[in-house]
Amino acid sequence: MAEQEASRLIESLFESWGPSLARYAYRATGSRELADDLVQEAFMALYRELRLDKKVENPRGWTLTVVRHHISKHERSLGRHGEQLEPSENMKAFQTGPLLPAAPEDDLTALFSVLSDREEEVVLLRMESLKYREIADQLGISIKSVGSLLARALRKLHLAAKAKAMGRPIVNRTDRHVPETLQ
Amino acid sequence: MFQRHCSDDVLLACRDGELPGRTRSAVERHLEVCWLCRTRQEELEQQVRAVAEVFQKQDFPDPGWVEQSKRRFARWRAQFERNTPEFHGFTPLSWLSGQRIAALASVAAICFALLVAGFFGSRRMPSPADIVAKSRLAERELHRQDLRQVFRVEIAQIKPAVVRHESRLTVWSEKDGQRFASRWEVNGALKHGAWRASDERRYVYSPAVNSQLVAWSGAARVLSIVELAERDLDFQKLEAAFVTWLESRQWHPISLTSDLSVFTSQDGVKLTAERARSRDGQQVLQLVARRKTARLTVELTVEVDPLSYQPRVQRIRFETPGRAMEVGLFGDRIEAIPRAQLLPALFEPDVHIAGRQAGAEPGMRSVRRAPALDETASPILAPAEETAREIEVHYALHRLGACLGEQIDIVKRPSSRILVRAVVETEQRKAELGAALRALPFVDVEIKSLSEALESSPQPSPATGQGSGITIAAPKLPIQELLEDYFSKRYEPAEVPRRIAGLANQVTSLSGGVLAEAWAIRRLATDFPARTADGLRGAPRWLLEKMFQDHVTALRGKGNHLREALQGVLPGSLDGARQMSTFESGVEPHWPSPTVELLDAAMRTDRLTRALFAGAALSEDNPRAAARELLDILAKLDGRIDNLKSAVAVQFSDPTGQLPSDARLKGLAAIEGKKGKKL
Repeated sequence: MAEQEASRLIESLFESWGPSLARYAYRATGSRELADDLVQEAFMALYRELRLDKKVENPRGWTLTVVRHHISKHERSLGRHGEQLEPSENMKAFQTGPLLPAAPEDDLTALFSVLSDREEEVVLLRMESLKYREIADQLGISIKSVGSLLARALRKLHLAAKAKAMGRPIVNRTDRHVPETLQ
Repeated sequence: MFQRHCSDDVLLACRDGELPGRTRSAVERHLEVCWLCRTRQEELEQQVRAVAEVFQKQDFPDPGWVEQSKRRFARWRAQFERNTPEFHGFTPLSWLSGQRIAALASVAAICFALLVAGFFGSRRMPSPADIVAKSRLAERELHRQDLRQVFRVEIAQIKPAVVRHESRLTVWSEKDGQRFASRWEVNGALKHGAWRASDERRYVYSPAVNSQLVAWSGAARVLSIVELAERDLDFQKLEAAFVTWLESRQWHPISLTSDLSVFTSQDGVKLTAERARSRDGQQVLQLVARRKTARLTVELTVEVDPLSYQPRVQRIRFETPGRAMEVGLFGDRIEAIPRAQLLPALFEPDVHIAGRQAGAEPGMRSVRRAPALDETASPILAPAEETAREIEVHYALHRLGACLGEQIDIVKRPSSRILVRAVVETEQRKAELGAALRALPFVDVEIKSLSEALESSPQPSPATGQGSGITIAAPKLPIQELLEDYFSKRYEPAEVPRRIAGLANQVTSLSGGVLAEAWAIRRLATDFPARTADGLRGAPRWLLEKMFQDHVTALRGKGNHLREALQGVLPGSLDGARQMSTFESGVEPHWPSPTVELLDAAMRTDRLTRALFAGAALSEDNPRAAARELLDILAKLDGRIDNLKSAVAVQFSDPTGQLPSDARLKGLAAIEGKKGKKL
């Protein structure tokens, strides 16, 4: 693909999809800087593919896959070394500042504390207006499972909200227990 | 129809538009009769709203993120294109091995470096004092004109932990110093404002100190930004100190070089200059003034354009062994503007702040916002942000069902605030709407109950001379005989008139509901046309889609209900009409024409229903033909709802808009087909 054409496509994708991707990366990593870098990495990789005339059917899904791949690498790295993923050489050259510590607990984190990782991921992707089919493709699960996960997540949130209103303790995911009412 | 209750997944998928047509209709019909499932669906919906609300509060990424990211990407792309010449059609000769290419590249790099060194060496670097003097001069020249300055303000703690706050500072000033305004905003919320419309009308608003607007005569002296370091090096206090610095401007535009001049005139300050690259990759002259003591190091950096000598960036950094803070002013827009663009409204406090004016001293003029002559000049928010706010207001009203025919006006104001005017039936409804709207900080609310509206408007003089007795005769409906015939076969004769009245009430209420939903959809399509919807991202886009989907679902439910109520009562076959609707639903949807077609069908439905069941004028001679036409339109209504639903799905499913609509529809059809099989 010609330079101008690829550049135009990337620019329009930045506007239409970039903020959603960044939000997703931020929720997953807890670091704004890292989320920024991951989005840049994904768009750079897409630009390389386009310039090599490789066919990218669904740029949104493609970039999301790249970001998710990097995030899982990041998580593995944290598990192995107990420290944050080092940015690539490319990123070091364009780094705007040092990596921030993990984001402080905010309303969304508190809200999602009752959800499993998979449920949280499905809700986050749906909030970015992805269709069930797109979410299923990303997570490698069936469309029906997407529906079930979403419904279960919302039901859990409803029960948690109810419990909170009644002053009962809320079981969060660190306890890995399902609220009694769901059992 | 579903005989058993629907599972949560099915209820949610139905609201998300993810069920195939037949299953969806079955679920919707089940929901009409099953309170339990409806309640569970509402509970799920409540959680969707709760998540959406929390999601909306996220401040990342900020509005400038896209532009920053694009710039960052452009820098990488330029380097990438330079380093990969094969993309430009350059084919290396076959005898060039990798090592040879590397050797040639090294030689070329050395030659280039020598050339660059020679080029810059031949240009004599002006002395730092010269640069400061030229820069002061250039800035003063600019300040002799009417001016608008827009700065990105970055207040950061570098040590012990990195915390960075970004905000925006906008300043308007006249060359004669008569009128002045400055606004410091964080994520669209005003954090500090100063307005001077004339000598007598000078106000400052600083919510951190006082939630009310206060009259302000100006600070005793102009502070230098370097003096911020005299306070404790604490992040919160630094922001407060920045406000003090802003208030000390004495109605003058921001001057980046004056602080540098003041600082460099002090003892122990060392000034250096060098050519450097700014953050956005531009070549600049960088002036660095540094003063180092045992306790504190202060470093003031000003970046100057090498051609015009206009200063663009000022950064000040305070550092102690344990702490480091930085305040940066990055000039996004510093420009002279014509006097005509300095609208009177710019120099007046915002209406919602003016309403909270302190003191109310006798003789002091009240603060009122002057009417803006040209609302398009100097917008305070980006259009996308304004649209997002509008959608929030619409959604707040939508949640309370106020979009279905209540008398409500939504007015955009020049200050990017939104005024909602309404006349509602009861005090309770007024309180309900008021509470929902006041939760949005950018909304001004003017709601009157019906009794208040009547009190404030001139009362009509009472009628005189006429008797007060009014006789109401039961009207005979055009299809009275047909209805009597139908009900007399099923009920006792005494029961028949009551049954007819019940049916008439039910169908006129339903057709009114259909019309209200169709109007709500049409208004949404008019207020947020396709081009606007295309530009929306994230939560506002999602909320808009949700409003459309809610109305479409409600419209379908009411339409089905109406059809079921009339089925068998009126002559004509609904099955035949349904076939026609299937044919119509195959039409390629175009946004937003389906909303017009839908409204047209809803209006005809309502007109015919009221004519047949409520005694309104009937244009057709034959009531039976009118009844057949009503059934026919109702069946077509279903097809038009399908068209609109497809158009909504196409409009909102792919924000990149890269797939052609027919390909998307085929894809959707394929997905629906598969799901249908599974289900």
